[in-house]
Parts: sequence; structure tokens; C-alpha cells
Amino acid sequence: MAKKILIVDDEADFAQLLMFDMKKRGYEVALAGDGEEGMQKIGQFKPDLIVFDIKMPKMDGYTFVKNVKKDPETKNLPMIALTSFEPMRDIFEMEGVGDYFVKSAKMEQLFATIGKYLNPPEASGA
Amino acid sequence: MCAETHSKQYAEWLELLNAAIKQAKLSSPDHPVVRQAVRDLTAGLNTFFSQIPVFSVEVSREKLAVEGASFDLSELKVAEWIEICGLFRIGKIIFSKGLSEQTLGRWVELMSMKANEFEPFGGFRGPFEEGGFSGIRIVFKPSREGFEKTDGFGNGKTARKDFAEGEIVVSGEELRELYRETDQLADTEKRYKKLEEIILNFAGGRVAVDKAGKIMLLNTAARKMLGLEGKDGPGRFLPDLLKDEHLLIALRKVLQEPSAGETSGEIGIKSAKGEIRKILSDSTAVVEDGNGKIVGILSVPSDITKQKELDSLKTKFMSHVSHEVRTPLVSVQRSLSLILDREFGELNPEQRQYLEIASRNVGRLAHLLNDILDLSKIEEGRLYFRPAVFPVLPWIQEVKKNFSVWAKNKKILITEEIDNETMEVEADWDCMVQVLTNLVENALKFTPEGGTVLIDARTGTDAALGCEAVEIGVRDNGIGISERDQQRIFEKFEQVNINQLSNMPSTGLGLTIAKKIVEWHGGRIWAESEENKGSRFAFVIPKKQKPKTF
Repeated sequence: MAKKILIVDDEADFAQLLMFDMKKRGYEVALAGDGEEGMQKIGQFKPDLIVFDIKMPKMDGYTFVKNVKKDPETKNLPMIALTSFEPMRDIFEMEGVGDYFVKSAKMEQLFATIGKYLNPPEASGA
Repeated sequence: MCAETHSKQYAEWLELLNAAIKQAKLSSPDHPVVRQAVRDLTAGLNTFFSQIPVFSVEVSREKLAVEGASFDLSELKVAEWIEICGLFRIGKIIFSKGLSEQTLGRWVELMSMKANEFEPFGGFRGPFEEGGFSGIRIVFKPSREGFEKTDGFGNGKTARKDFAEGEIVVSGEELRELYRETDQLADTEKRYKKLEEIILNFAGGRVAVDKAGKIMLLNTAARKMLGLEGKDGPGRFLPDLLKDEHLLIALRKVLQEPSAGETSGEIGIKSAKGEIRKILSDSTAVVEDGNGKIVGILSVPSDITKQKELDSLKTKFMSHVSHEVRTPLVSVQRSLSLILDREFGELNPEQRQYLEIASRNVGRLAHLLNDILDLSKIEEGRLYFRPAVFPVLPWIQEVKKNFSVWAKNKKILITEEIDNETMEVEADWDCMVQVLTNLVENALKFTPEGGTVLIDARTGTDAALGCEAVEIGVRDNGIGISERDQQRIFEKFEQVNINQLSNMPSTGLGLTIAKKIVEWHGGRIWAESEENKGSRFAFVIPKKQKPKTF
């Protein structure tokens, strides 16, 4: 069964591109435009991994993580933070966030990281 | 003298007088002043020629007296009588207070200044009272050399050989010279005074010094910037007053080479504690008199400390904004490359061509952006890199050598595996040594006794970098690093909390620095690890450095 990834990012264009790449690698993908929608989608979609942006309206990345961790059902979900910035200490003060990915055109690193958590159904070209 | 000679000489005299008058720019020979002058001159002609040609002239605004005979010269300006005096080879000049205080003052000043030059000419005698005139008598002592220098008549005649002690000649030439200088000096001073009013009220700093460094002008703003006190001002020598060495050096340089023209620069002024208290930007310009001779230097310092602060804020802001620009760029790049990779179907040649243009140029943008970001990183860290091409194997061996003792003590074997022995890379050698050293050091720390540390090196096209690259890895078989820690340890001061190794000294900066350096070179650094199975710290940098501008 294909692994499911939820992308939570207010930058729709970037999310769409990311989704394309993920689907190509055999993942099933859902999108959410902000933290609130993200919470909803978790319930509906039940992802295996969440990739989320830190800077979002309505509910930012930090709050989103907290909320996900609160729920016993979701608190062990692997989460990868997306950022335009260099990694900051703040990211790692987010409990349960094991990794970050600096938004760049080269997605390989992201997929390598995702692969660590999910063991994709088909070998990726990382 | 017989009448004939008399009249001949008189004719000559008349000619001379006409010439003098013309030169003195009187309106016409019929001017009552002139007629009077002629009359009086005629009367004294005999005396004139028989006497030694050293005579005294009393000068005032109203009268020009030659050997007792006086002319009414209320119309003549100072310039004009000077011309006449020059032609007549005036010897002793008695200035009357009928002249304006200013003119007198200038002459006095000038004479005092010139005193040395006129040695043994000099002679400033002071005030006198005589024949209704009160004034200042200046007498020049005789000097044969000086006398021979010029001929006021322009005849090239040399001077007489003997004249009375206490009397002297200042040739008309010199007089004219002196006059020119005085009046021009006065003019310049006048100009300065006019400007001074305005200038003193400027918020910007204004300092003017003469060629020796004597302050001619100093406004309040400049006084503050240069750290001078209230009593420091015109007349004092600026080099004596400056306490800051940078200012002194800058001032000395400008005084030495004033003709270098306008210069500008920045000077950092340190406070008593030695930290940079403020930064001045300074523009200097030479001040010339009417003849184009340099008489001083004008400097316009401004306090740009705030500006510098803003610059630094600007850099930080730019860095922030650049990051914001990055994401849209990423979307564009990614989108284009998907299309170009034919993910959505074949492209016709034109589509391909123009998409490639778009792709290339957005790549350029991305590259520019990265340079800006690297730059702000470097600016903050103040690192200076000097990339050069060097072979990889000796570099690895060099680092290995540095650890030979430690490795031996821990019974750890350090080996290398290189896929091309002659492989080269372009990078800053010292910095790269540091990077590899940091990685090997970590490896040694985490490897138990009897373990192995492997340094691998290979070249190839790095997909992520998109060019020929060199990848270096340092593998250890220690306890490994959790995924969570793998990224974190590249952070400043972050260290992995390993109980058994808590005695190991470390600044926590090694990996951060390595990361900064590798990233400066356009590469990336990462850790691969599984807990209890060891780690491999690796970085990849492009084979060739793209030129960076600062």
C-alpha cells in the first residue's frame, strides 16, 4: 500500500510541485493550505508523514506541531519542517520534529529524508 | 644743468609719467591730479636727477608725496599708486594712517611675514608723527643683491652701487608683488569671512587649514567630530590638537600632498577604550588663491556612524528578503525543470528553447541570491577565503598526519580511499584543512579503541550541485548519531550528549565552522548515521569555484 504524505504549506505553487514529485515517487499525497486545514486533513487522510511549512497564516508551524503532538493518535507521526531560512535552533526545539528541509529546487535531499521514515514503495532516484 | 638737458630730461620724465599714469589707469592726462603732479615734478626735477635715486614717498589715500613735494591723489587707488611707485623705484615707504586700517594692517602683516625674506632688508619701524602725517614707517636696509634683481623701469639696468645705510630700495617689482599678495590675501580673507558666517552654521563639518596645518576655519560640527575643545580654533595648529591617531595620519598625508586634489575616505575614530566610537567620512579639497597657488586645504568631515549602522541593518534586511525571494524562485526552477524533463509530454523545439532560457535565467537569479546570502554570512563572520587549485590526496594525508599520535594512542587506524589519486579541487586550502580536521576529530572522538576511521574521496557530477564536484567523507564506526541530532550538531554550540565522552573537550563550533566553509565553497555537508552503527560525515564541493565578488 502506498505511503501517504500530507503537505501543509500556504505556498500553493511550491506545494503543488512538491506533490508532483511525491506522486512520481509513488506516494499518495494530500495538501493543506494552513495549520487549521492541516489538522482536519490529518483526520480525514490519515497520513504516514507530514511535511509542513513553518511560516503559515492562521496557525503557524510551531502551533501546528504542538497540536499534532497533543493527539495521542498522531503524536508519533514523523514530521519534516519546510523552511526558506537556514535551520534555526527553533526548529529543533520543536519536539518530535526530526528533520527540516530548506526549500530549494533540488528535492533529492528531501526525498532522502522522507525515505528514511517511510521506505518508499519504489526506489527513488536520490 | 643746462636748459637743454633739462628739457630733454623733462621730456623723458613726462614720457615716463604718462606711461606711469596710463599704467595707473587714470582717466586722462588732463586730469587735475595729473596736471598737479606734473607741475610738482617739474619743480623738483633738478633735485630729482642730481640726487641719489633713493627717495622716500609718503603715501596716503589723499597724497603722494615725493621728497617733500606732494600730490593730491584722492582719486588714485592703492593699486594705482603702487604702480607709480614701482616705476619710480621707491625706496622708503611711509604709510599714513589715512589709509584704511585694513590696508595698513595688511601691509604690516605682510611686512612682518616677509621680514625674514628681506633679511637684511627687514625693518619695521613703528608709528611716527611727521609733517601732519601720522603713520607707520617701514624702512628697508640696503642689500646689494636685492637691488640688482629688478629694474622698475624695465630697462634691465642694474642698480647703483652705493647708497646710504638705513635707506633702501624695494623695487617696484617687489612692491607690486607684495601688493598683489596682500590684496589677494585680503580678498581671500574677505571671502572666507563671508563664507564663515554661513559655514559656521552648517550642520556638516567644515575645517580649513593652511599648508602648514594652521586652522583657518573650524565650525562647531567639525570641532565635535574631530574631538577638539572649545578653545581650539583658528590660529592653532591642527596636528597639535588631534588626539586620534587615525585623524593625525590622514591629516599629515593630506598636508604632504595637497595637490593630490580632492580626496575622500573613511576614518574610524576609537574611543578611549579602543572600540570604534564613530566613523567619519571625509572629503578634502585644495584652496587656491587668485593665481592658482595652493594656500590651504578645506575638509568636510561627516559623521557616518549612523549610516554604517543602517548599512549593517540593510545587509540583514537584504538577507531576510533574499530568503523570501528564494521560495518563489524554487517554484519556478522546479516547475521549469519538470517541463523540460518532459514530465508532461514532448516539447517542440521553440518551447524547449524558450523554456531553457527561462530555466537558465532563473538559475542565474538563484545563483545571485545565493551569493548575496553567502556574502552576508561572510560579512557577519568576517571570513576571508582564497581559493586555489590543489591536489586532494596530499591534503588528506596532511590532515591524517596531524592526528597520527592521537590515533596511535587510541589504537585507531585512519585510512583513506580515493578513487583518483591525481584528483584536484579548487578551494581555500587552509579552510579545507580545517574542515577535514574537524570531521576527523569528531570521528576519532566517537570511535572506540581499536576502531577505524575511513576518509573517502571521489569526484563526479554532483546532481545537487549540478556540476563536477568532489565529495569527501569521514566514516567512523562509533556509536552513531541519532537522526534528530544529525542536523542539530551543525548548529553553533550544539553538541551531542554522549555520556561516556563527556570528558572530551570541544567548543561545539567545529561542525558549524565546517559547514560555513563548505557552504561558502558552494558545497554542502551532512551526516549519515545510524545509532550504534557508526557515522559518515560528508561534504561535497564543486571542483571549480565560481568567482565571487565582495
